[in-house]
Amino acid sequence: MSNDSKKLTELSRRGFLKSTAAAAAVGAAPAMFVSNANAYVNAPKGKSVTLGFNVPQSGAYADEGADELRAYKLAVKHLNGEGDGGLMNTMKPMSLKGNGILGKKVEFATGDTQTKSDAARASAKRMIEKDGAVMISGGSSSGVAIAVQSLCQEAGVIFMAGLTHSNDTTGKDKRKHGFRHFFNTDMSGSALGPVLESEFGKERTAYHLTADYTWGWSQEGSIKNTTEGIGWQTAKAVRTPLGAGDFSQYITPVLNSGADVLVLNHYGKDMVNSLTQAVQFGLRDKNVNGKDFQIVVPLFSRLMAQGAGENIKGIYGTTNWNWSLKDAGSQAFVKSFGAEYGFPPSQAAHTCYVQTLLYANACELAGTFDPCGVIAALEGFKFDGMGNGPTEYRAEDHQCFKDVLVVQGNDNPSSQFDLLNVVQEVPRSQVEYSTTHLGGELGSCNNKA
Amino acid sequence: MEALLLQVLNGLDKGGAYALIALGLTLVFGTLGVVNFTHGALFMLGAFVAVSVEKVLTISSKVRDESITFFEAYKETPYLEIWWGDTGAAIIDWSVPISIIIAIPIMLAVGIAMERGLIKYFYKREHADQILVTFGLAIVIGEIIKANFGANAIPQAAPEVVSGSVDIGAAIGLDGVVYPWWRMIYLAFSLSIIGGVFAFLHMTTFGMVVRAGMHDRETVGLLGINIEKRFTIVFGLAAVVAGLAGVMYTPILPPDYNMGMDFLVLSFLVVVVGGMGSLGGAVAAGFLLGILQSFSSMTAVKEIIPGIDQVIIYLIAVAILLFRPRGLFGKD
Amino acid sequence: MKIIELSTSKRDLLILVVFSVIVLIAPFWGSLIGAGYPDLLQKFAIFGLFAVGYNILFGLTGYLSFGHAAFLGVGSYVAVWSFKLFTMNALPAIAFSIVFSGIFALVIGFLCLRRTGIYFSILTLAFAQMSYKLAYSVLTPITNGETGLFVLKDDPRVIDGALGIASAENPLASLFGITLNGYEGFYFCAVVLILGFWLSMKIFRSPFGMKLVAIKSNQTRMEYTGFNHRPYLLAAFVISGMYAGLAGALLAVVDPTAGAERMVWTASGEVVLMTILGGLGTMFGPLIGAATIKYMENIFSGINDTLLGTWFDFLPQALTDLLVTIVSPFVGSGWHLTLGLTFMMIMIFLPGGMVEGAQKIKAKFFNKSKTEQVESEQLEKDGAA
Repeated sequence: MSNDSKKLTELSRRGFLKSTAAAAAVGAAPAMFVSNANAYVNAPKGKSVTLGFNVPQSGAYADEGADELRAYKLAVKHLNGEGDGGLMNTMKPMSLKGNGILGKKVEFATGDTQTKSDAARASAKRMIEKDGAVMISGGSSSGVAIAVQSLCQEAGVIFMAGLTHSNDTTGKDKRKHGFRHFFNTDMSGSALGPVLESEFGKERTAYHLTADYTWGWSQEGSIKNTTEGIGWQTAKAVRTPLGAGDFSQYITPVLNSGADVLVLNHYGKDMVNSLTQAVQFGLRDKNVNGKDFQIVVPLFSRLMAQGAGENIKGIYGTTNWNWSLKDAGSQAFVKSFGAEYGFPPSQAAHTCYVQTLLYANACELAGTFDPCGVIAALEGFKFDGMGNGPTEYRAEDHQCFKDVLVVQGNDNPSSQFDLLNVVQEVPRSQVEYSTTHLGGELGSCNNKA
Repeated sequence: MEALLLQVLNGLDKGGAYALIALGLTLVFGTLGVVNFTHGALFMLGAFVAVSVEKVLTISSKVRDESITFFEAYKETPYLEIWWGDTGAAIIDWSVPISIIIAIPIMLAVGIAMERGLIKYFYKREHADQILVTFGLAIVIGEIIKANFGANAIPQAAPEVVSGSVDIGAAIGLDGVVYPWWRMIYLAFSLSIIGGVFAFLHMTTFGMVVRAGMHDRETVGLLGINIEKRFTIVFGLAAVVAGLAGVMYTPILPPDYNMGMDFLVLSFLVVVVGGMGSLGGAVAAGFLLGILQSFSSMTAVKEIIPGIDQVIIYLIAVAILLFRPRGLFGKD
Repeated sequence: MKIIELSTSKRDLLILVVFSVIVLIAPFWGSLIGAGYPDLLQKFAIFGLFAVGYNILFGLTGYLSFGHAAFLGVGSYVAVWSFKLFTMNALPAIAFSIVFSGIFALVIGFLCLRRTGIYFSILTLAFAQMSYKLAYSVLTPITNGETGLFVLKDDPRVIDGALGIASAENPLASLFGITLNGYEGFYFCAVVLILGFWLSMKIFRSPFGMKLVAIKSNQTRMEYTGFNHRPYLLAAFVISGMYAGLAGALLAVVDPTAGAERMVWTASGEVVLMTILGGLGTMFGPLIGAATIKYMENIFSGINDTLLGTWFDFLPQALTDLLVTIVSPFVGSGWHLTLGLTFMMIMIFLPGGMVEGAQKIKAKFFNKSKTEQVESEQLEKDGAA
């Protein structure tokens, strides 16, 4: 414990005495004021340990959130030694025993982030303050992930990020207590570059439509970097309001801009709408400078592909994971998820499941739930058999480095789930960047009780 | 030049949509004096009539994909295609226009049921009460849709022949003025619906009574005319208009359960800028906001005033309300 | 001119004391309903305060503002900037927030109050939406956009620096050495709420409050008497805006962060719903409404099937499953459904909001013979509403 935080704790204890006195004065001293003698926040006392799953259950990402929740429930089952064990059969190295975590049965609390930072922090706080969660996981947007991550740092619990793609989560806004398995916009850019070059050539002019908030800017920057690196021009980058609905006024200027590639830096509903409308405006039938006009959607998900329907066919993008992968880890996960729910998991479900197992494993390695120990066990942890090939949790920024999938909308799906073709599994070495590239400061671990 | 022309088209197209969505809202306020926060949900319900029709038409024979063993994946072929071949495929292709016909009775029934079952008890209550109860109903409708259709957007395709775009510029000697068929159809559709509603209110006896009721409800009642019944029908009509706007919008915006809330604020802005209860005002305001929104999105404009496209419709609303106390065509 | 009478009648004093006790023992009764943890108790107090302030405008004058979340947002941003630039002490942050949101409310109120009815509502909505949209995108250098504004270790904090107070790794707001998170944060908010409630009671009982009610009941008649109501309306608007700013500052005090979504129109709508749900124009209604909505948002949304199963565990298995199936659509991801149904039910069966429901129950169970008295109280309330 650092000196500063020790001082803070003492101060707050004095404050707590005063306020207790105030409460006693009006005739009530509730039992929850009894001071916590544990070494760290929410140290499990009984035979069980509680994890907090904080996902969007209302709003635009509710379906993604529901899939994340399914994955968490499955992970808890497997950790407790029920079901077929899923990825615990393929993960290596693995210290999990199928008897919970450190012999304690895993229980969980759930909450609704509503894809709003305030609501997400409120429900995370409920899980920490009321339900006694030692770890919070989940999220479907970067703003929310960053907000909850900094809360977990303050509160002294671990945050295992769900779906968050902005560089900032493990860059500018990284925290000692936050860990991300999902990839980021820079990796998307590096992975897409060579594929775009070989498919569309070196002489192209790109036009960006970018969602006007941090994730959109992050992605626009990363993709621009890559495409300009392979010799493309950038005609223009136009910012569009989040949730614009109708994008026609942003799409018509593309028609006569001289650009021959449209990059849609949109996610979720915005992406579904802008892609649908861009196709309606005949962009894909156009021929500019003797080249076929192309649309690129750098971040893809199967759930979004469903929303865009026919329009997604043939479009290039990247994704963290797809159920059609044939490695043993992916197969094991799809098998046990499919058997449980009757359909394949989304990439959001995959990353959430993996994060839960990685956290549990780190606790076993550390021999404690103390966040400082868990952080030390996760930092630099190398593993395999989880569906993305050999992976490393880089100690310097808590970002997982692994292969990235370049995918394409399937022209001729063999079933209702067969929406994405994996074009290339871009190796880790190609998407890796230096530890100082994205800036930010991790800070130190915080295990005050 | 081409760019400007395209933005004018975008503006008209948006304006048509805004006017159509706002029409029912202003009708209900003008006649019944009810601030109806369910209006957006009615728009969304219309869109989901289209989704349901498509789901029914594409009930499919399922052939199991044997290569997938962990769960059941099917290659689906709609029965209509199996039974009737190309005719069946064509019916599915035309599911959105077919939905229009089906949506009319459904939305009329929904509207009348809402008015008889709930809204009529709130005529005499304060606007605040009306807002709370209709907002509650909007949430309930949204949640029911979410429970049945999920939260993801569900794509709807326009019929194949009109799913592409047309080079309008070629006719007038301009290069690259391309516009989607469906958006032009939407504009024409909204103009004809708006025209139809106007004709109905101005050329029929029914419409005359309703307009008289809007003006002075008590006197009309004293004349022994059953204004209540007519107002019920007006509410049903408003629901139909909102629903049709929703059906027609599905190929442009894949619908999801929350789309009603997204359009709620917008439709209120249009109505108020036009003048509460003024049908002509709503139409004028719809086009005004649509066109200005399109122009403000042009890069040349955004370079002068950053972020203007984010706030333009609110800015216009503020300007008009400050200088024209009762909106564009409002009556005092 | 003495706008607000400062003497307190005995009855009001009793109300205030009872109210203070209820607020201060909130951790106790909160724990009985599963709300006994600092964050939710803080939210009860903060949003209660927001609604109490909003009631001064909407409840007394009948002017329905759809833009008060903008003032709350401004309050939060100002407070966080005060934490970043000057000191982690909560008092300067609160003072700055009240001043800035007051100025903001003065400008917006001056413009919007030129109109009445729905036109006024839409004007406030438009201003608030503009603030939200700009905070989300163009004003990112000030607001940090979507990510939101956070307090960092290496912020300047000139006053703390001059006083030699070292910056903590995760800075928390404090009151002369007492850090204001957890229960300390709640008690801080509770004291502010009690003060705010007392002030609002004073306003309700003052000649100023009476004039506002008179404006509501008949503006035209007031005008004929040569009474210029605009300054009174503007004062009410600014006061409620300052309450909103104060609530925003408290949000930042207990959790030093601010984001644009606090200003979005649905956030403004929420305080309207809180006020009407609890009982428009009543003293306690807005507080009850705020607590109800926050309770549903935080507790109902966290109930999942597993938890339901353990609740009904004492019953036979088949019955447990049946109950879980029946209840689960209304909790967890379905909590919005319950919220919507509650709004409808309250408005249909209890037009005066939850306070009216409480009065009815009181009349029925406690003192049947005093029904008449309740009715007269009701009349009194209607007069004030």
